Amino acid sequence: MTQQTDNFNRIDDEVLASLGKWSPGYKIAVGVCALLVVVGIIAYSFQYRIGMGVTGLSVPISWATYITNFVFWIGIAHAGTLISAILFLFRTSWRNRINRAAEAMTVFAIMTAGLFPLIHLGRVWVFYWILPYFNWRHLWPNFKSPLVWDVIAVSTYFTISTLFFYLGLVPDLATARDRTQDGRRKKMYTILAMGWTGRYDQWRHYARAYLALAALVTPLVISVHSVVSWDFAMAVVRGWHTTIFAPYFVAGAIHSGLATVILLLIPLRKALNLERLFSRYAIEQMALLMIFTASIIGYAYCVEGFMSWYSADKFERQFNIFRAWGSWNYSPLFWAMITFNVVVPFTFFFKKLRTNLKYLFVACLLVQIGMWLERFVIIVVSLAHDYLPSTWAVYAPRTVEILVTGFSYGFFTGLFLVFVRLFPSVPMSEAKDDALPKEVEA
Amino acid sequence: MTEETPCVVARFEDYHAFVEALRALKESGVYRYEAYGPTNLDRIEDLMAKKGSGVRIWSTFGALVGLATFWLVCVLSALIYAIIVGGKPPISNIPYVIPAYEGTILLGGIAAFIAILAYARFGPRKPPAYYDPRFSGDSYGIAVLCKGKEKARVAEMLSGLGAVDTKEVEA
Repeated sequence: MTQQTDNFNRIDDEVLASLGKWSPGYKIAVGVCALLVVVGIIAYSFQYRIGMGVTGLSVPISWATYITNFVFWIGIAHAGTLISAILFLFRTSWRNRINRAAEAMTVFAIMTAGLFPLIHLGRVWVFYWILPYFNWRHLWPNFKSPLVWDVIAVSTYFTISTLFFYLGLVPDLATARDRTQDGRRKKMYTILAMGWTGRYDQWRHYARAYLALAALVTPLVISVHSVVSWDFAMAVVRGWHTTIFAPYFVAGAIHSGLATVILLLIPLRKALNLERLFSRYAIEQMALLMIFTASIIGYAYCVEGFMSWYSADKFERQFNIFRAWGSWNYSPLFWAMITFNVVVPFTFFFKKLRTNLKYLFVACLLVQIGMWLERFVIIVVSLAHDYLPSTWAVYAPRTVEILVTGFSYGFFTGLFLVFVRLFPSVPMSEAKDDALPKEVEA
Repeated sequence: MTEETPCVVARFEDYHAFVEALRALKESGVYRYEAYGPTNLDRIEDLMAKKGSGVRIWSTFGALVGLATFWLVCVLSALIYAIIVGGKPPISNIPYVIPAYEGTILLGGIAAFIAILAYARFGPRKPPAYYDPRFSGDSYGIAVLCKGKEKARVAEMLSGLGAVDTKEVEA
């Protein structure tokens, strides 16, 4: 046995041991997620049967919690692609242990996000009208509409992220296939590993395909959330109609996504005994990245305020004053959003705080709340306070909307918890690559 | 197309020895060989007979098809329902950039994936009998294609190059 063999075996042992039996605590966590999903499905069935009147939606607030959830989950998905594709192209070594978890998070977050436009549709059974399919009624979607762009962008993002995620998983599925003793799991890994043997010929094509997919998925990080932002920015609504929305949304998406990765990794590294592989260093690096994204978001908040003053547009000015000071219903949310999204991440400047995992966990939880509130403030407050004082309204989510929101958390977290017990959550081949002596090159 | 069955499969526990063995095999120029390993072997390209990959060409082709297809869908759908409003032409190329851009990425990515399925001969099947499961775990492997009577000599040569064990494969 050589040092290298020891290192490789240690990586395999640690990762494959995490696929073992479910502890009682783990089963309870999955059970809670399943409960949230079931309750959410019942709530949605009620909405499906009765109609959209069971929600708090009204005129003029016709977009609210569901669309907030859509933008929130799409945003979560972005950090996975940043970590797996962009940091891969930049050859950032700390991403090699955490990219699998981040990619899984991306795929599950898009799946969750994709449900919300459907849930928001009053007549979900005709959802396919937005797809460009040949038909005799000449019912073609309007390709000039950001809503149609959104369907295309999100479905492209889901497809490419899934392919990228699966391709990265193949070498590790082969390792799991070759090591597992469980008959059913072996069968599953054998099918999913698709005959992978680690032959040079396979690696040769794999490396190119992985690079090609990484290069293709990278512009999607920018484009998808830009397109989502244009759903709002193209409309002539105060608080929406601004050119800063695309970079502001992209930075926000990455910000919330990084917070989610940290939130997932901190308990998981303990639960799965992967503390060595999900290193504190990688978590710290993500916290540092969050300072960068918080700076962009903070800048965007300032620009919004500045432009409303500088434009001398009275509607813009009164709207910004209303958002910050004008309503007991909404103004606290606005200040909570600024505190959680900008002030809290700026505490990561202190090494003592960003390396304290308990503090980091709580801070990232606050960022998550802040990012959800940001979307809520953008969507709801802008619609609630438009040009005509006679149409001003107050929105509060109803029980159905709250339960369906709970469903999304249960669905996402449940999928992730099941995934990490069924499939290697650390890319073993990449971890082994890191463990190789660097001076040996062909 | 199926893989050729090698006559000797050698296992290496040290990456350095594995690379040196490949170098020796390449320099001898006598045998054809294949390498196996648990880490990305793309970096040993210089020691192998085959280089590069067609994946990128297929990916580029797919991307161009995606660009053209999505742009055409936008244009043709506008022409089917060609109502002129305010004197503006029905085709608006600037907004069509978004679907065309997404289509480029979508079909480019799908083409890259299909290309690797074809090139790497992926399929839901078991590995061949001579495959050592440790090649996906802690070891590297070299499989040499040779004639039956050369087996012993090849096995001895590979052992001399640092292989921890060698296996003669029955045809």
